[in-house]
Amino acid sequence: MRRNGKWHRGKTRPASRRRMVCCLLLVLALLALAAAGRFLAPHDPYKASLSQALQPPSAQYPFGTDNLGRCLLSRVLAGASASLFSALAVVAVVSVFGTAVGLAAGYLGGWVDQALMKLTMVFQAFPSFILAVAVAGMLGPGLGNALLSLMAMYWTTYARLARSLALRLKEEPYIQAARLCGASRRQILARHILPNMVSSMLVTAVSDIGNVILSLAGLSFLGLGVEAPSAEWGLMISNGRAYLQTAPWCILFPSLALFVSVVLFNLAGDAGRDFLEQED
Amino acid sequence: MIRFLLRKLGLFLLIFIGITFLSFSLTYLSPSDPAEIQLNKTGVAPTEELLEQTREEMGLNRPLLVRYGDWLSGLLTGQMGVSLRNGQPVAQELLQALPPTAILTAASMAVVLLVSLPLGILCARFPNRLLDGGVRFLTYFFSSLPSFFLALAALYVFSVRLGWFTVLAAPGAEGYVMPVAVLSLSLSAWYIRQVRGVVRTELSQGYIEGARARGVSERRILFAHVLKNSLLPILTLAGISLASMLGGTTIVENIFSIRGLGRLALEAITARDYPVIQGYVVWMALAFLVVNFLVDLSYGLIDPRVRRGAGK
Repeated sequence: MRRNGKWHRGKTRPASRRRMVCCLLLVLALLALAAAGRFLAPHDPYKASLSQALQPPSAQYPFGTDNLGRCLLSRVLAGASASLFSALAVVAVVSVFGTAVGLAAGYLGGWVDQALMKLTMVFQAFPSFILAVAVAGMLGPGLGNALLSLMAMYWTTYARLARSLALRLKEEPYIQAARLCGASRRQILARHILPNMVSSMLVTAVSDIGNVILSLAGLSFLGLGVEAPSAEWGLMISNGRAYLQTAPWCILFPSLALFVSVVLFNLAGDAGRDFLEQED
Repeated sequence: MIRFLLRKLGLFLLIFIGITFLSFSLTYLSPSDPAEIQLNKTGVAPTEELLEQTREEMGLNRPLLVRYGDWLSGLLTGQMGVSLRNGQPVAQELLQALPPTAILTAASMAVVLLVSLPLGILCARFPNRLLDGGVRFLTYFFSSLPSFFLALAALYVFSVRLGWFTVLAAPGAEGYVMPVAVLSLSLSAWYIRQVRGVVRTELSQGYIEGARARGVSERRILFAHVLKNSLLPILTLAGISLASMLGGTTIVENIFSIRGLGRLALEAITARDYPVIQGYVVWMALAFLVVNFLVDLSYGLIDPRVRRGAGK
């Protein structure tokens, strides 16, 4: 929670601000790379040529080729948008939805709160990845279904966080003052409570992106996400399994791309959290 | 104590109903019609009339709550229908696949606790030293790696390159070495940080300062006070971490070809064998629920404050 005031602002150590800006720039660079991936690819990521199958990394194919002779570098670049932007979409949807649920529960209280919180408890009572596997399995494979199942798995965090923040903010003197001044419930929620929650929710969302990327790749790896022949990192790794002994690069490079992305988002999340704590 | 138990039991029942109802409604997510599947299996061309008749026979036309009640009583008596793949009872399919998953989970949990507790406590006790820094780097590293990559890397290094293990799971204990190592490594990365955080918070409490001022030895402070008070949160976190452990088994069993529940579930998904998928989800969720319920109850046993707080 941020209290506005010059003195609190002044206390922010420039180091934590600089670190956050650095991390955000790196994340933006990664996203730009993902958006431009298709155009940067040296070869057509979908063009198979069996005579070039399972070539080790070389000057022509820096990451080598897969079992159908497709250029792995091009596929890793093309797959970035499927992996990263899907994860971003999931986090965007669940954070908005969860915040709405949590706000309603925390601010309205009473039976609404009871009912909504019991619902989140039921969802949390499922081992999360197993819930995603089951939902994706019931719906059938496909990227859209995988994203839906991830949303079912991730929204509870935001509902609980938003509820606890709303409960705390509700008791703040300035909210009570606003109420005394005759502000409507809607005004209080939209003008006072929501803006004060945004920074915490945002930091949580950024720290979650790495996990969502990993879960999505996990689903694709199990054959429950993106379908072949799409380029997606989890699916590429799954494809490479059969060639583990002869062509380990099929697994290595998509995994490396996953790892770098997850680390970058995690670092950004941590930097944001530190920055927020300093600011408090 | 009785009121504490009753309250916990009420919550347990409520969540039990929620979980089973949600698992039951999962069927409605599937795009295919069970009556149609049934007809296709017998080789009859489905007409609208036949479909309607089959729905009636299978009881699909009855009200939702009645069907849920039937399904629930079947679940509790072990009659969960038959698998659409091979006609075996679902309960039998699940029971057959249970032992490997149970061994995998129990062994991995034991390794996680054995590795994480000492390391987490040491890092909290001597923060920002070489060990703490090294452990922090490693936990960051491993928690950003997908577990399936770890598993494949382990296969590549230890089976393909070094030849220590066979690529296909060996029968007996040897087949479990790599799966357990992979599962516990990913989870330890998370758990060590949690243990460190819990112990650090406890160490920064005022009473620790007081105990030091009174000349209580560091060892006694750590073992008699800090660990005793950290036990509950550490136990809760272990209960919660069971969820990611169970989720991890689906991937690890699949890679190391262990014939456990996770693998069964994936086979069921590929074959659109809905009763088995449903049985898998609901029993996994119930196992997780029971473990966390027991952890919750042990709170009351270990810490009398929780009991009294609840009795108010």
